[in-house]
Amino acid sequence: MLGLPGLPVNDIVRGVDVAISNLLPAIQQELRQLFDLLANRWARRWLAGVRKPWAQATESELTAFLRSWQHSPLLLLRSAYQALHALINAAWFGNPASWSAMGYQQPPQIMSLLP
Amino acid sequence: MTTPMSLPDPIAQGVADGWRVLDGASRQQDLQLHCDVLIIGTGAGGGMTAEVLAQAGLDVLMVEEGALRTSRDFRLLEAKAYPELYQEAASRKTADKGINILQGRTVGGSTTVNWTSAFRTPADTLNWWGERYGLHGLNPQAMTPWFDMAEARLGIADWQTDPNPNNSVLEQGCQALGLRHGRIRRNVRGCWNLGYCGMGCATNAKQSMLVTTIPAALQHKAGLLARARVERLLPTADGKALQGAEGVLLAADGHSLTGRRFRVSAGHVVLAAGSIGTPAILLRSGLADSHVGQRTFLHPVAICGAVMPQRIEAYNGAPQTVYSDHFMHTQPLDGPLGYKLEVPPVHPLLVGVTLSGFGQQTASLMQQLPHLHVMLALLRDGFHPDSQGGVVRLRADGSPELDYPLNDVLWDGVRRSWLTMAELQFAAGARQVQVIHEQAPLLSSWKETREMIAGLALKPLLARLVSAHVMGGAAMSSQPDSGVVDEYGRHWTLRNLSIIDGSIFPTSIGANPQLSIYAFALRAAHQLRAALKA
Ligand SMILES: Cc1cc2nc3c(=O)[nH]c(=O)nc-3n(C[C@H](O)[C@H](O)[C@H](O)COP(=O)(O)OP(=O)(O)OC[C@H]3O[C@@H](n4cnc5c(N)ncnc54)[C@H](O)[C@@H]3O)c2cc1C
Ligand code: SF4
Repeated sequence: MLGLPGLPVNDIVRGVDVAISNLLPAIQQELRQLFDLLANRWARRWLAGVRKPWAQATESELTAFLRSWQHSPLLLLRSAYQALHALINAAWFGNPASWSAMGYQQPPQIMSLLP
Repeated sequence: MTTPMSLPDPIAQGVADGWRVLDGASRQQDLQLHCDVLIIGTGAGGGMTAEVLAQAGLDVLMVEEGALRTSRDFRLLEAKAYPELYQEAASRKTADKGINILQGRTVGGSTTVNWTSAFRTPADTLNWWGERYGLHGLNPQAMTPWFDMAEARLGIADWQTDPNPNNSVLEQGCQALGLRHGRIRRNVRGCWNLGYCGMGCATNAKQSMLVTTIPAALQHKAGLLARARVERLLPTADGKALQGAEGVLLAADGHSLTGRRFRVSAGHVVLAAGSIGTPAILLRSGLADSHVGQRTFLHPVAICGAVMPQRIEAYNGAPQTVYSDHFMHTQPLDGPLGYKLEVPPVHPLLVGVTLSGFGQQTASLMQQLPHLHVMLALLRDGFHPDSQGGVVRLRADGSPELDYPLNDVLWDGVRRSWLTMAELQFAAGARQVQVIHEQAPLLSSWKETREMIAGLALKPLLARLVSAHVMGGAAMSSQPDSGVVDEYGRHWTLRNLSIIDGSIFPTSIGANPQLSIYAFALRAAHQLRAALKA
């Protein structure tokens, strides 16, 4: 999803968990269903088009999966893609570890004055 | 060692000095409270109303679902600000998830996190309300003193500092193409020009309700109960008035329930929970007539990014200081949708979730963040006969959801606005332009981009649409059967209920809404004060 090598995957996963914990119960429920679906091997195979278990899937298989959901004619699959996109991007770009590679920093003139 | 200078936090100081502030999270028992006026929600409408009524000596109680967070909590950190200060951690969406909605959820409501742009309600809009809805009392002349009063109260004035480079791109593009444009007035006093208004203002420069009317009301002995969600209003036995309201207290995480409840009995109730929030309370209370929740508007926003040769650093500097209303006037008010052009602040988390695409494509764009310029087109919904906005409904658990179907008249505006934005960006010297749509490639010529835009599929969740302006859903009307409240926000059937927030507008505003809400709230609150003191 992020297209960057050497990412702190555990931190990102933790960030996703935190992000989910801040959502409404009704939305958490929808995400639960999405992750259950992705964990189901038949759904993985037929809906996501990934034959091997997730941990063994190749980069090109994952890319094909994301692309097919991103552009799917079905609103539901597009929204599932968008949910994954939002959670993972929020978890990484909300993490200060991602900032220096982008050349972003908080304004130094005020940071030292904060409590 | 010298002690570093630190920034003052007058609100935290006031609480320490004994303001009447209760935190729902820390209550061990159910709460039973009484007041003259209960105000539900502390945003633009609730804050303004609280000050006017408390100053008149009325016993006012404000109840707010969000927490009381003050400048010392504002750390210029998106990952902290969004969950703490926004509805649904800044990821609220319409029912088909086609539009992402930003709304505040903290003391001060959306004003605590808004971007400080201040426009009076356009005369076009006020006149339309007169002609179309019979709301003649809200004509531009009659509203002028209320705008003046709101501007004086909140330091709304011309912004003298140069626009940041992100805004300059819009200005230069308009100059190059000969489009009308202007500078935006802001509600700030002593602004540091930082650009982090969306995460709460750490310097207290932004004149949000949090630092103006709410502390003034507290100083006049008003009470505030935070982390308390109103579930329903409580009607009297004859069903013609309200006794008060009841709800649940929220835990320190801001969303789980403590199991404790609260109940407030009040002489008068002011609903100011904002669009979506106010209709939701009426729906949960079983007090909704057929208009409640209908015609909820968003100014749906289409987005276009550009990689500029120069550094833009769109995360630094006052967020919105230049605008163009050119395309608000190129067609009739009720014709194809007009749109207002502005630029947003661009911070890593929000831009990361907003950009389309994934993998290498997004990664390389994110790596050029300092060169990224982003432009917004805010579509004026609610005037064209096919632009009816969305409908608020309740989920099984009572939480609200906005169903806002995207139709042809809206998509037509989206496509026209992409063309405008891309042309402007190239005219201002953009190296590459990226329409925020899942199928749009990053392109380096206007001609190619124009052709590409003509072929883009117009579907939810391919085109990225967002909104920070939720309006309507409990419209005012000149006749009891055509709306929910009258032009002073007085409920047509419940004697002691007023609605004073952005939900009373019968159409979208056609400009950033905060000043419209402040002015309307002042007018309604002064009328209410006179009635309650009589
Ligand atoms: C990120 C962002 C940027 C913006 N930028 C601008 C700008 O630059 N210029 C501009 O003019 N406008 C801007 N706006 C919009 C503007 O701030 C809002 O239109 C305005 O604040 C709405 O006022 P309101 O009183 O209707 O509701 P809000 O200010 O949203 O306040 C409603 C309050 O009610 C509370 N509430 C809801 N339900 C309940 C309940 N059941 N019980 C208790 N409390 C409840 C909410 O938590 C919230 O605090 C922006 C908004 C956002 C989110
Ligand atoms: S730009 Fe001004 S108003 Fe906005 S956060 Fe910075 S100091 Fe506050």
